[in-house]
Amino acid sequence: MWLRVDRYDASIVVHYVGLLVLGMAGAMLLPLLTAVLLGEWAAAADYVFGIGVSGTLGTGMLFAPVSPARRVTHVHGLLITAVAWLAASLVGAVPLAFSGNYPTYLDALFDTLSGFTTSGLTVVVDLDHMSLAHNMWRHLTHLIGGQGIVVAALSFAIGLRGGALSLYLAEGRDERILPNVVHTVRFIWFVTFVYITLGTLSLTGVNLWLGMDAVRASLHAFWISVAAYDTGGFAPQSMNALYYHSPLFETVTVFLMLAGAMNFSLHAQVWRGDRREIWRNIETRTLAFNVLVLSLLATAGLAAASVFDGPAAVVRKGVYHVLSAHSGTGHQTLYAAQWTEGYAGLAFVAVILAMGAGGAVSSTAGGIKALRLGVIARSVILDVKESIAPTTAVVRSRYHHLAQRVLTPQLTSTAAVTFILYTTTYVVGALIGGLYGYPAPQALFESVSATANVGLSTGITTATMPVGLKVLYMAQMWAGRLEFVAAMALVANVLIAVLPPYRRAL
Amino acid sequence: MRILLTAALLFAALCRPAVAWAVPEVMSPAEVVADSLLLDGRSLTIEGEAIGEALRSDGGRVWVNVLGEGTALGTWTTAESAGGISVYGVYGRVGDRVRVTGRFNAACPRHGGDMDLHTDVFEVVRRGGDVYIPVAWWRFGVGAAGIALASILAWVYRRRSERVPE
Repeated sequence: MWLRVDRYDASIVVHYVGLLVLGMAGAMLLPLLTAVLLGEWAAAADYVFGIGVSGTLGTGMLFAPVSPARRVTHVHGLLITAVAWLAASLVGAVPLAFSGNYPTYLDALFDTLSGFTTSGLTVVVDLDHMSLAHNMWRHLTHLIGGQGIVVAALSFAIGLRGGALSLYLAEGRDERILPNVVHTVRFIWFVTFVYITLGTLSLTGVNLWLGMDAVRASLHAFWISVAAYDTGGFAPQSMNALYYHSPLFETVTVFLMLAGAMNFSLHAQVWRGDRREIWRNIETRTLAFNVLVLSLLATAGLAAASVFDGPAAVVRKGVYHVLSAHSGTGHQTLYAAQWTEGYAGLAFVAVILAMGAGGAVSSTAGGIKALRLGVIARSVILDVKESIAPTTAVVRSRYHHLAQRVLTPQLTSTAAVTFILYTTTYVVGALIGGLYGYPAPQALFESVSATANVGLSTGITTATMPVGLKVLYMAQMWAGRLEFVAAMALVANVLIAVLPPYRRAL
Repeated sequence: MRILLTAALLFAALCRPAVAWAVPEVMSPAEVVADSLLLDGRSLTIEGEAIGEALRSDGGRVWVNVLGEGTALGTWTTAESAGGISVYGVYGRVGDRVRVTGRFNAACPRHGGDMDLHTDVFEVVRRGGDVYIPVAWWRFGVGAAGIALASILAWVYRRRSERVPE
């Protein structure tokens, strides 16, 4: 039995999405300030325009009536979240569309959605000549989206009369760190602030040593810190992390990527002094196991390519790209063409698997997530144990995730459903990519990269790719970021609204 | 006959890497990256725009990233050579066009497997300079009007909210 969303429910969604759009107008003040301070007046005009458009739309949407007596329900939370990500991208793309680095508005929208979902796939043109203000906005989308657009809004406790928890959970967050949701999201921002500050200071030092001027050194450091910690993958230069030619630079980004791929609850436990949680937690164990195995595979694959002289280079490239893929970041020190030219063997497969697996739940990473993979692995072991145990025996499986837990059929089922949804989307995206004429391995790589919000590319994703494929990857990035539930709720409600009554037995 | 023809075509495809391949006199970075495996270890010349800045490297040398046809390639060159560059490509500036000859590495053993070009000859072929970027003043106007309208709407909304009892 489907609940029909009535006009009042739609009004609630419009009202709260309006608040979030208004928040976007506020966020655009930072790139505007950057443009003004650096004398980039053409870019400043783009942001004044963007603020005007988002401000007018946002305040206009506030007039959708909401009753103080009615709370925001779980269904509202799902719909608000699903629509908010699209609305934020639509208004966020406005200034970028004027930048001269995007042939069409759709291209600007692609990059904005990719930024908010911390995917990092990009169709930007002539990035090396992009204004610093526009680069600031591109990377700010990672910062806003990495924590969650709704989470970002909740941190300011935006006029919500209840329903904060529904919104928080609807954004793919599985756990509350603190009893109060607003306190939880503020803690998330606090952790983010600490890591990005440390990253920015470290990378500024590296960049200054490399010879960059103070302004570019600090801006690049901030952007890369945001992109690495929020597991986004954008960079201010077309060469991405390769531009800097620095092992030290790569090392700092590795630490940031790993920090970003970890569960915020785990950060909280460690900060409270419980460092043993790192080693006991099923997620960190699963991540460590996956990274180790996939790094070995990637290294073996690169060594087999006979391009590298010596193990040091093979390990550096292999491990960096597996970590970048597994954390869902997408920073790369290889060219897109190299994935298909010389490394389309074991390393290629290892990176696809790493992208698909993803980071931890309640982190900035995408993908299936380590907790679910750990649970599925445990349930397989449990099935084997049950099959060989005496019929009278009661076999249980326990695992540690912030506390000792018992594996239940419901947990296994939820993990399996999410696993199936992700893998189905990976394959369907690859098939559609194949229909557009791209080779199957490349199409699969790109599809996994989009759905798992990674951003590594074999070169399919460019401004010249077919419009249909751009729309497909945008849909995959959006659905993958929301872990399908909110996205499917929106699609289901739209279908219920447009289908005649006798066709609604979905 | 058809089987023989197919076999011959397959053989030709398999032998492709072994066929001697003449390196063009001057290549763009994009062409080099696209054929990196064929060009690995060979001496070649690339031409493109110097972007960003010279970045410190090992051996007293610097990195100059050279952009051409949308792709940039790192060239490992002497600080003295890089000193001849007057403008690097950034927002609002086209960098000097440089021609760089040297040994190309698809995966440089000295630089952690990075793709690069170890420079022997480095020359500036054309000076870069500032690019005029026009300011669309109408966007300031429309944006300001939007901000004014949003402020009025926000004021009206607040007044209405104050009248609604909690």
